[in-house]
Amino acid sequence: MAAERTRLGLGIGWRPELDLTVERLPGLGFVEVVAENVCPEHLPESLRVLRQRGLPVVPHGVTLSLGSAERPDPDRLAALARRAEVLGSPLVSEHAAFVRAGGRDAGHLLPLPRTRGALDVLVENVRIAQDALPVPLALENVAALFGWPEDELTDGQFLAGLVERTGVRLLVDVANLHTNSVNLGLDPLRALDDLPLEAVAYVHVAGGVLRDGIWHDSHAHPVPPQVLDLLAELCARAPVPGVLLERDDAYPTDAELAAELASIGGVVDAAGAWR
Amino acid sequence: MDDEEMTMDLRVQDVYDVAFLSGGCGRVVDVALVDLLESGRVRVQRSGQLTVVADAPATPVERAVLDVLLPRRAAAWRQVRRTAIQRACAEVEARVAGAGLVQQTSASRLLGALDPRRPLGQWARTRAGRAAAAAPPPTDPPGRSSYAVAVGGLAAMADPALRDAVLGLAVLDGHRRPWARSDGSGTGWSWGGDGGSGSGCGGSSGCGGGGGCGGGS
Repeated sequence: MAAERTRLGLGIGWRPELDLTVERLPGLGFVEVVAENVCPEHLPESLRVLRQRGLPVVPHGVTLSLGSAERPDPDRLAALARRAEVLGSPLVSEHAAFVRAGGRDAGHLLPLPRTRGALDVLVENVRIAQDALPVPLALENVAALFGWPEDELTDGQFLAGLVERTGVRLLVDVANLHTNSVNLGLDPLRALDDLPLEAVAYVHVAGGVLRDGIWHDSHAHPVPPQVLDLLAELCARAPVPGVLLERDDAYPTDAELAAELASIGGVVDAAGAWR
Repeated sequence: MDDEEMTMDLRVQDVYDVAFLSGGCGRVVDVALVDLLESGRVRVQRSGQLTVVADAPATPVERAVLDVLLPRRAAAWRQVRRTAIQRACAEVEARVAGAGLVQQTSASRLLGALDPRRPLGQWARTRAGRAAAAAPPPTDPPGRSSYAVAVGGLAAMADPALRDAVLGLAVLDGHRRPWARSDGSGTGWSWGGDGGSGSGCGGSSGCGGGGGCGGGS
């Protein structure tokens, strides 16, 4: 199941504010779009243009809440599946997290307790999601605001168990590893060692800012050297099919975005790690 | 005659003067916008929405355009243009008039009063102004089109994707391109479609709800 894997290359998160910019970035291999922000019946013209050029578009869901105790909402799953079909996507991605519980929405991606019990629930929900989706699913490690006192496993062990039992793919966010390293003292290299990197579908890279000792994964600042270093560490361990820059605000010039993408690609090039 | 032409050329100081002589104050701010876009200091979306990338004006006209744009998170050019014209053009207008390239006559005042959309307002080009406007403009460097736009309006922008976005046409289907029949001649152009927001879903189709995207993903 995990044998065939799409080579994606260098990507960027497509945002309406950047539509023409994204269309004109040199050397782009794919884009990701926040699934809940696109309407399958009224695709933005820009996405149609990119699809016509053959660029893969990966819907990136944020509201499935696969880590919730309840089963994933069939309507949300169908909506994600529909976007994958309309966009002709090679895969979809979501998060190993929960955003709602007991009917309340957190409006934020919350970390799961890394326990065997929580893993069982996530495994069950991921299997349901996989059955409902027309293409492979990749799950992302989140930047946690806090850790649960009952955590038994590392992030890497938790996700490794998930991959082993579901065949789900991984979207490794190295900026989130950095965030958890600064804010929670979690060892990002240990995480990379524990993760089953052969399951990586693609990698997220993003910028942030350190304020009062807290790393803010803002997606509105340049990608710092520490995050690029983690990308290099990942590339030293395993080849990667794709690497994607997430930028969500304070957008720089087209030239600056192109340069940032080039330096990200350069890290993978230098490691000879494109798969 | 030769001497006269030489003098006329010298009276035209910069691309804004050329723009004013060809299309009045509206053309002056159009040139500023094009410079801001082509240098990457302002970004345009397909929807036509403009956002400031770098608040780094090179001229007072650009300063005036950025001052109108900055407080709005995003705005279409037709909205910005109207306000920017008043703030941006007075200096250019005074300079071109002072150089004897335009003047007000009873006829031009009447025409300006009758037609508020008249590019030159209450001004009329003098003989020298007509000659200066007819002179071939300098060639723009690759990827830039200030002089082309000064003479030909926004339809003359070098980059068709940026042009369509600015004119509000990048979200329309290919079969309807009103810009093709407008402008080009120096008499202001009409705005095309009302480029919508271009993203997200409006209500009925089951999208939208749930929100909460962005941060921390």
